[in-house]
Amino acid sequence: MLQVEHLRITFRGTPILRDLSFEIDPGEALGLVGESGSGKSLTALAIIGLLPQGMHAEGRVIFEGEDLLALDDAALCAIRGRRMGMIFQEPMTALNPVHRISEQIAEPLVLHGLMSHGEALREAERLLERVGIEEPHRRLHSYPHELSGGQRQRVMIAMAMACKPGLLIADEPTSALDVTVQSEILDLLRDLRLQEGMATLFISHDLAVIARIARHTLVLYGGAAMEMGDTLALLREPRHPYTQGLLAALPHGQKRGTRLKPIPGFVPPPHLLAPGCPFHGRCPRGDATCAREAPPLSLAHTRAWCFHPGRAE
Amino acid sequence: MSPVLEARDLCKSYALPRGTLLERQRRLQAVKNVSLRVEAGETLGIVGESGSGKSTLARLLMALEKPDSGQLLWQGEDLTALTAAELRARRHDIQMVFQDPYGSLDPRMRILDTVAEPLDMTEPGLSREDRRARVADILERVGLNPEVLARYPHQFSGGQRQRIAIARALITRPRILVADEPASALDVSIQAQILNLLADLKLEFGLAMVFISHDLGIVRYLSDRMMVMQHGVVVEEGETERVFTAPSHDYTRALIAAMPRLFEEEDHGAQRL
Repeated sequence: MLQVEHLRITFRGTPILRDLSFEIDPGEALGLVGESGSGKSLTALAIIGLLPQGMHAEGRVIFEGEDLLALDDAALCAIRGRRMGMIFQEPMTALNPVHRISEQIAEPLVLHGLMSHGEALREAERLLERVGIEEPHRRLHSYPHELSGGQRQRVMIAMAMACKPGLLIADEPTSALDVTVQSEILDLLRDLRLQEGMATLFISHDLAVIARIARHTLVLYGGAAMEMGDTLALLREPRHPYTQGLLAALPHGQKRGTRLKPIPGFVPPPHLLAPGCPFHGRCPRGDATCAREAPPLSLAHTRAWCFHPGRAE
Repeated sequence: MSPVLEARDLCKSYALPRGTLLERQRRLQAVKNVSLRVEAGETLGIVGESGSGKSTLARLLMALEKPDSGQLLWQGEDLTALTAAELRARRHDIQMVFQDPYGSLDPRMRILDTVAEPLDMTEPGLSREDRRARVADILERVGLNPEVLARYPHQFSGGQRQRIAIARALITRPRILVADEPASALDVSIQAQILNLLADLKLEFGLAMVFISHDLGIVRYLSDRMMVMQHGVVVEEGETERVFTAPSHDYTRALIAAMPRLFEEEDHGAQRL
């Protein structure tokens, strides 16, 4: 459904994203996990062709047989929103505060020439019901500010689903929500994905959320892939020192009184990252080769891009 | 042992905006009959979702807002009986750390002055050398090199800024620290540094800590006892492990079930696919 091949993003000559490749099958979810500055959101923006000014993407993003990076703006516009749906952390930035939600859900259907205005409004009501909004007929005429955070996120999902997209990109869609609401939204996204057969790219900083939603996970650091594989295998037996460091730093499941193991140091700005492995400098196993050369792919129960993969000490 | 921080039946309500002029004034009961005790060296975790009243409770405990009714005691002393000046004189005993270290540091102030500011209030007669030495000392305690004194907040990472905010809160040697989501805005690898630091300070200074968070995993890791709030009311409280292993209230059970987990064996009914 989606194939990303050797995706690179540069900003004024500085690499921001280094040679990223992955694919997502219909009905599958890939979790993209990383801390701030890892390049996870830029990957999503590159796929939908909305990179910030001055950033340049190379490589191939093949979606439904077409290379999106080779398309012009008009062609991309016809795909974006129709074949690809997007939801973000803060629905208020995507919802227009001065329009009723009925119009906002109906708009892409009319714009992409799929339905008449009347049909689109009826479809909007059906979609609201589908995403679990109570009394959809009454809610249809609400303005975004009249809804709770969880309801707004449901409306965003309804908008993203309106044109039955083949790919859904969800960037931290539940990070601003309460845990009980988060749990409901994650269930909803899973149900929709399975019923509609959409491919989903699910971006989060939270490994536990990824564990719940995605069968496969890709771990990013400093704009490079660290480790990829079956989510459970990756969490149970990570082979990359960065994945191991992330898991060891989590307080979840640790006994009170045991010290957490933070990853030493902090993420340097992109232009100061090592040209080899970006984790070099914070990595307990890093050596001179790691700083200089791009790490090789090591295959076992996960794929790790590392000179020294293996069990955590 | 007498508690360092005690609240008895705190209540706080706010007026809701009227729909029409003729409509009766309605009030939102943000905090309703909340009582708690925290002793030296003890951490009380408070969990709840948005609208649970946990942040209103934090402001009440800090005496930043007056309760409608109820009593608040810092080290046994009833604050409602104090004058404004007397209250101000006791403020150095209770300090707060917020979620967003960017918002609580003045971008135009050097680290030296940022951290020394509370000290300038409580000990205005301090010599320049002593003031500098006190700041350098507390920065070292939170794991920052005293070389940073002359720098400005933008020159630091998020985790370092939160350390600066914690140093600033601790420089007056408070007995009570109220931390409202202090690690939530930070990346996982940095969050661990801050949680370790808070655990150390609790032992080293005998700090009584109120730790407010929506993250149940962090509360479980850090708190000795915990309270669960919903709609302004404490629905459950007790020793942390007891609350997690044998929750007695439906809402606590719902929160624990909704908590995302890394592995299935920790799951209690949550589905994975």
